[in-house]
Amino acid sequence: MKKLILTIQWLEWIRIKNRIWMLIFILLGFSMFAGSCEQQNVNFNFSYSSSESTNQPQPSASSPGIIATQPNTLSDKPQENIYSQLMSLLPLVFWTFAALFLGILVLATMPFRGREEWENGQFQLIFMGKYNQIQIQGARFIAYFAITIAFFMAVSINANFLALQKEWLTRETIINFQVLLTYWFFIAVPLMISYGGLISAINIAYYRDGDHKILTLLKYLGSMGLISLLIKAIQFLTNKEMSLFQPTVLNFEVNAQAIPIMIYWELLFIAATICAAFIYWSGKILEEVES
Amino acid sequence: MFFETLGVILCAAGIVPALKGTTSPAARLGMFALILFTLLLFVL
Repeated sequence: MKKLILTIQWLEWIRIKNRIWMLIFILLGFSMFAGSCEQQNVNFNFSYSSSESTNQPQPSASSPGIIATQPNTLSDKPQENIYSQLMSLLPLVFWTFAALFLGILVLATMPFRGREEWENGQFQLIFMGKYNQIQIQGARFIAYFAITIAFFMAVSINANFLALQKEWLTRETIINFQVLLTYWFFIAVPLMISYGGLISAINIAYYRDGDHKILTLLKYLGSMGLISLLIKAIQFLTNKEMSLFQPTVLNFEVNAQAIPIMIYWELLFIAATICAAFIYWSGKILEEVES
Repeated sequence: MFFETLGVILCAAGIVPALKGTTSPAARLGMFALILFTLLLFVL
């Protein structure tokens, strides 16, 4: 199995190298814009302090435009400055979510193989050996998931370290935020990748008979229907009375108030089960198509 | 009522290509699941 995983990793990295370059450029752009957040923060505080607040320290005459402020922590700030402090976080939050959104758009297209890529027959050659299509689909899933973990961790950990280094949020809030992001990552991303693999397998099964526009439309609409059903199922399962395991509570300190957010562990198990079912299903389809 | 009718028409139009487009029963099942999700999207 290790040999299969390494082979699939190599083949897939060659096939999707353009998308990996796009991810690297998104990471570079994120680093550049997130790194420039400090300057925006300084300008914002400067204009705020010079126009409205009287208890803010003014920039010194010897260094105009350069900050001469006190440490920028939540606990040191008076109450009226918390709004401006939260506003100063917005550029970092915006660039982080922009990078994650663009990255997910790129990552979601990874499992899809076009007709030419299918006709190249790399996976068919592996299938003719001792491995079946379900194992091949599992190895493909691991390959995509490894790339996704690397991208997601690079963005989220960098953003959190930046916020921690500049003391924009407390350490506990940042750790809780990272835990929350990782929790939703491990629910949503395996589902996204395995569902992409399933749709790609269905596409391959219909390649022989040519493209049907109505089927393509139904695939898009059906995916939207599945997402809306999943959201409704999550809303139903996150009901407190339904939970089997004790939910974990994360406290976020915003505006000097603790906001509790619950983490339900059942969702992780359900997502993993659905993900395994999608991988098995896509492997079964490809076995029937290739046999 | 308009969206429900549209959903039913779209799903009905997809049944024959979904049946005849492939020889794989698992792929047909997947396509029919997608048709069902489309119907639920329009109806619910």
